[in-house]
Amino acid sequence: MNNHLSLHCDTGDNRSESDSTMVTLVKEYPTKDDDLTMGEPSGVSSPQELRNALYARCATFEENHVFDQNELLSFNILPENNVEKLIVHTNRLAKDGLFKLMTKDGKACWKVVKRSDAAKYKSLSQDEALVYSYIEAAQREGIWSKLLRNKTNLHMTTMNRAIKNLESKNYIKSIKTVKWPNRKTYMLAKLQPSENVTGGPFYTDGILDEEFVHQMSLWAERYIIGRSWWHPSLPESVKRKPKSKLTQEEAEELRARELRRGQGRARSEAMLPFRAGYNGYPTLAEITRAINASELSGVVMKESEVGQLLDILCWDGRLEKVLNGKSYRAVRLVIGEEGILLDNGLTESPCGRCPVFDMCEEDGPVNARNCEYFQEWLQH
Amino acid sequence: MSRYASELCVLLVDNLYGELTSRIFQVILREGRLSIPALIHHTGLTPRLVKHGIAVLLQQQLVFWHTSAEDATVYEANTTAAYNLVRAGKYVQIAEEQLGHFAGAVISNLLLLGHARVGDLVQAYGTRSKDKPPLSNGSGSVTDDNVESDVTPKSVHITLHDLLQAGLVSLVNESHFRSDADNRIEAGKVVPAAEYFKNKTKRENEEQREMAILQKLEEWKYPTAPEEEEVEIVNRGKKRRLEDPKESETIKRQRLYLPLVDKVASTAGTAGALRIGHTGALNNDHILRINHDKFAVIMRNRSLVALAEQSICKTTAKVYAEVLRRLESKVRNCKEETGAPDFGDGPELHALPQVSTDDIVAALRHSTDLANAFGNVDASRVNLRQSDHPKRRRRREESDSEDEVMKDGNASRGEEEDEDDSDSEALLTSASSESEEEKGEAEYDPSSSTKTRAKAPENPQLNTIRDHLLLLAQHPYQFLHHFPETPILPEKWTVYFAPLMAHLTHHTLLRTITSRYGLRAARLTRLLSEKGKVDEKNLCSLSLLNQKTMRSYLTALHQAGMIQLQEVPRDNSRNPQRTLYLWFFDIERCKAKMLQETYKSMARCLQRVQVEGDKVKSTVEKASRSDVIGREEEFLGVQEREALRKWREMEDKIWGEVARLDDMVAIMRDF
Ligand code: SF4
Repeated sequence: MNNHLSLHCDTGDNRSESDSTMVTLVKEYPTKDDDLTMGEPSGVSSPQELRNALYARCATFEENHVFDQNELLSFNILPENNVEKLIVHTNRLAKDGLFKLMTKDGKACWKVVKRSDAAKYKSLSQDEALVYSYIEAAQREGIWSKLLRNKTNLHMTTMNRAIKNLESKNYIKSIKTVKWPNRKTYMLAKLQPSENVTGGPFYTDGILDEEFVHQMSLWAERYIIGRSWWHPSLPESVKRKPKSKLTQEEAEELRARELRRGQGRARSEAMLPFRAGYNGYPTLAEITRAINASELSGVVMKESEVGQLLDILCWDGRLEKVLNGKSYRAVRLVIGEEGILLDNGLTESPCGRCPVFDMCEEDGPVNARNCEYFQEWLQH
Repeated sequence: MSRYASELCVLLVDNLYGELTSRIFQVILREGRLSIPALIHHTGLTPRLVKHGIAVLLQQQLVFWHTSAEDATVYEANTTAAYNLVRAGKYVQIAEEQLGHFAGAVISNLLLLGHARVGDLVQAYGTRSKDKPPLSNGSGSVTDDNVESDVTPKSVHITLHDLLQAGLVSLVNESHFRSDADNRIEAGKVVPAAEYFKNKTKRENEEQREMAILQKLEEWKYPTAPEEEEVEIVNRGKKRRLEDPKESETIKRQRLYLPLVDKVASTAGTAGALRIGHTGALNNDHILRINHDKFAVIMRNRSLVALAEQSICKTTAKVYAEVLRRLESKVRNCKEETGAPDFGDGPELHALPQVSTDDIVAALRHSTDLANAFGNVDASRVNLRQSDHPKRRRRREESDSEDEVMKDGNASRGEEEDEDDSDSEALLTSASSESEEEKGEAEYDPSSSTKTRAKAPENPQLNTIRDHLLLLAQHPYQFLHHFPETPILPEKWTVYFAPLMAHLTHHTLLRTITSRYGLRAARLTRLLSEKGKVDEKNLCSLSLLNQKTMRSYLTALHQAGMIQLQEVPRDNSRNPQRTLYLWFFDIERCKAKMLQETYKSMARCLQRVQVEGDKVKSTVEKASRSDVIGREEEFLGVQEREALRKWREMEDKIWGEVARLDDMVAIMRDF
């Protein structure tokens, strides 16, 4: 169990603030009636106004800014600018859900919560708020339900109810992680899952988009083939029109065609190598640029993602790395490609493909004497 | 030796030397070392038959023998020789290619005889061509088709000499009839004891003795100018008598089976073994045999050339073939890097046999089509320096003319490409102007360019050939290793075989995997071989396959023994759910598995040949009757002739397949 947990923490939570532990707005600072504690009114502003002013000031900072008490004091908003007063106000703000109390290096600090979010908190029950706060903290990585339960320490049914309520209010959603497709993972409804979760452009809803991978690699391969071998020039007639203005349909048409063909070349017998020292073999950066320029993919591909694509092409035996592994070159002959079936002695012999190979023994029920596969092969 | 390999060896022996011989061979293979009485016991044959069989096996070097101090001779199977029977066809073909038709004929003769005295070989031809006019030219390469008629004793001698020189045949040495272990023991007897070496420590003495033993073994293995008393060439005459059962009965047993007694060929005559006299004659008493190692070297070169052709292009492969041919004479066998002792961290590359650019250029001066093999490319795209000095590689501009050209590509190309192939090639040749090359050259190592360029006008091919050579050297497989020109030494090239062979093996294995289990399976295998041990989750995301597909490929590969699975329990409970599963690709295991499969496939092929042969046995027998040969039309019915034709076709097909399977074996085992 512990292993699972730590594993998840490693992968999932590494983006949250590492050294600040979130202490949520629950009960730890029981709020008293502020009117009693505030002492005599300052005359100018009511405590409510002061808090509003403090909140407004903080809200001008970027979203996830963390304020410590010195920073808050430096705003000089409170008439009696001392720590005790400040704490009173921030506690109240925290209770209203407008501030989020956190601790950093043992000291209290705060984060501003948007009013709309605060409103959400207000409408939540205590359990729901607790659950929500953890889900919120998990940000775009999402949080696994098991981990959530561990952190909140809630009973299973309580937590499930809370989750159900939150889901029905459309505050959170359940997502699919690529790495753990079977884990129930939740994140705020308004967020887009991070690439760690979605697996990047190759995945849709946590499922590998094989067609997309296929199309992209096909295109990339053709692009590289075009640049790593010399090809006889193409007949004029099929050359693309010069860049005149294309109508919408033409552009669409062209893109569809690109999708089908790519702008590179196919392997052919007529390919010739370039002279030694040729340095036009495309690099990862160039290929990435070309792929993005082709607008084949709906999203802009990162180099690392294109690299992943090129890796699998290498593993498929279609590309090889040259020039100290920095550039890519298409392999001249690929098995399985149309027309090129480079069989060898083993794979073309009847036994090399025989389904009962392991059982075939000289005096066994399956043997070379009566074997039909052989007969077939001989007559072929 | 594995089960299938022995099955195969027995089948091969059976196929060539008949049932009796193969039965004895099988018993020796199965039981290990056996003496004649033991053999008689195990085979249940009569002593006469056993002796006859053993004689054949000895003649073909299919068994080793060893005579102990108690005068008991034991026999042991020589599985390498038995396996090599399958290569007979290739040997003849190689000899023909290298030294002409007649050399092929001599090799096939030698294959038939196992090993033979020069005199006997000459005589075998001599009798047939006594009154024919002598061969007019003195060169060893007899290319006539009409071999028999032109053969004179002299031409046989010359051919044999050429074969010896090329290393395709070698002198027979007694050690060739002993197993490796016995050779080692014998060498230990010849080399003086450790105390003899006057070193400071005992260990140094031991080491020196070890070296001496290895050297002795080496001398025995490759006899050239044999020393007295140590090389005792086996007297072939005696063996021949063994073949004749009637005669063998009359000879006393100990004389028969103590082959190293009195009548060992005198070594005095062998001193000048490889020197051919004014008469052009070899010593008639020399005993020759096929040098399997050398043939393996040549076969390896062929595979490499094929690999180069697949990965670069035909013309480059042609240049490569020439390089390998130049190096051939310096490479003795496939298993060691000749001349470069390996001290653990790979051999000293400079010590490997080398060949200079000039030699290659000279050898290829008549090839005219070398320059056509390159794609025309803008000179700015060529930068030789980057390949030699990776760090200084200069960054390229983003957009350039070539990209434009390439982008112009679109729709219906692909199919038409093959057609305009020839004219564009012609265009391209003319376009690859000198100036471009000069530019590439100039960027290259300045010290080498002076000489190279000075020569260029004399030999326009030089740069082209250098380009081919560099292409080979720069390929990820590293077909060649390049030694740039220095002030004292010309530019040279060598082949570092060990890593290259690793590539070749990997290439071959993966090709088989791709062809059998599909491209995706190959992807997973290559991934594993690059990354080491990988768990399923990572494998899934790295391979960009969905889990289900990936699993099905992994299972198939695993079942076939191509990849392995390791289970790492995370705690003591060994609960499968708490276990990590790591996949990995062990090339040695995969290779071993595939080798066994190949042996088995070959064995099955041979079994099938037998079965098919039995079906048409009577017809075949009839057709090979002396009165029928040449008059088939007369004696054989239409059906019979048809059956015969079909049978021959089938036989050819199966043996062709066996030969291709053997190519695989060679790659996985011998190279
Ligand atoms: S002989 Fe027939 S049954 Fe046996 S392995 Fe070969 S193909 Fe399969």
